[in-house]
Amino acid sequence: MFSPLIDELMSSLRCLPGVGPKSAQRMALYLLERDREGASRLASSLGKAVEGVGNCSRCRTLTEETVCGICANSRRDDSLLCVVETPADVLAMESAGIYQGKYFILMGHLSPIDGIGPADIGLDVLLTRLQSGEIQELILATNPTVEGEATAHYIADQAKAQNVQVSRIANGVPLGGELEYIDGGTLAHALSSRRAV
Amino acid sequence: MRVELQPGYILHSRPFRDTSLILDCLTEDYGRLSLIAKGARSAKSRQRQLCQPFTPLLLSWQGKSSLKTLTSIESRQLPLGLKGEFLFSGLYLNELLTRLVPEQDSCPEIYQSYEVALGQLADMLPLEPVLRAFELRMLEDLGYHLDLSRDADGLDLRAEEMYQWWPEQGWRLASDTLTAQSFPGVHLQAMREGDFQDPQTQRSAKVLTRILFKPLLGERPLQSRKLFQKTR
Ligand SMILES: [Zn+2]
Repeated sequence: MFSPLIDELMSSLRCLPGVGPKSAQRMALYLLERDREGASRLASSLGKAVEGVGNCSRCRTLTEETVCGICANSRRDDSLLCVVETPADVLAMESAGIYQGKYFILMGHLSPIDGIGPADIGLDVLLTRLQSGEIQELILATNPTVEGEATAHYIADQAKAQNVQVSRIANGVPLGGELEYIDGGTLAHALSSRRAV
Repeated sequence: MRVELQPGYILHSRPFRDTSLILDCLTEDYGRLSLIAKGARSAKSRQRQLCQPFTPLLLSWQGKSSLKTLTSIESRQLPLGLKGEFLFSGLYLNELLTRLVPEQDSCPEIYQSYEVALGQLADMLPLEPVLRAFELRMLEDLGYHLDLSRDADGLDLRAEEMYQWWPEQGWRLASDTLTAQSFPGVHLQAMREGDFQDPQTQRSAKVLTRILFKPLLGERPLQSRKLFQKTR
């Protein structure tokens, strides 16, 4: 129904999460009919980002620099390293605003069935950093899922072998959550990681 | 077809579309099957936390195709909370099952031995006996005939002899040149009785199950074995 270039644009837009054929059509027509300037900007920034953005050589987060802003920040504590699964987790931690150390981003978690092993999530890079002796405490903030726990355990073993102190963030009853509505697994976890008051 | 409250476990889940999950499940009466959990990844989903391996579940679904739709998920018990290398071992069992158990084929025996093995991992029993016993039962249930009482000629295996495993034939007396693949009869007898206490028997059982699984697994190695390599 549409000419080849428009068809191609629509099918390209479908690589975006949550964009099906209908929304792809709407987006393509909107860009071509109403906002050619925006479309050009989008095209050029996509091109530049894909070309320029890589991974930080220290923490693996997405950046066009060799070393990202957080890693380069000398006011942050170099001896404290927090391991998270995704760049979005860094944002979440930063918005809490109390963490002053640095990060290491796995870009995933160990998942044998998906063929994702230690090297695929940068654990060789992490091990080199642990061996360098600069890190005194490692905080494991992987997700409270089965794969997140397995990943945390694997890293904890590596860190302990390098005599680095390791802690795991607590998972439990959310602030404002009512016990009645919390699932059994979360409650069991909260109970097993209880502390004295 | 509608199935209600079927006991089962999730072996693996992967994201599907924007907010859904595809669950690879092992169930008591319906074997291994794929269920789509619609909306399970959305922020307000209550299902999300239940869609994890190592939680005894009751699953309900409907649909005719190979990809059925999950209609409800409830926990039968708290998550087993496997820790450390017991967790790695659980992931190893799940990988074995997803690689070797065909979908949509009832396999109540495999389900039972899986449930037993998970309970043992949760109780932190010594790992090697748990894993070897599961592997041998699983091979048996997959229809792989491993006779641990007689040799290829139908003679009783003798404790004091050394044996070699010949695919499609069975046990034969090991020739003078002992290879890594020779097994003392006494170990084979212990395996038959499910007695894996002796570390030597454990080692033989490990070598034997690797030999037996190899042709079934093909070229692609098991990834979960990598988890153990650096920690031990
Ligand atoms: Zn960085």
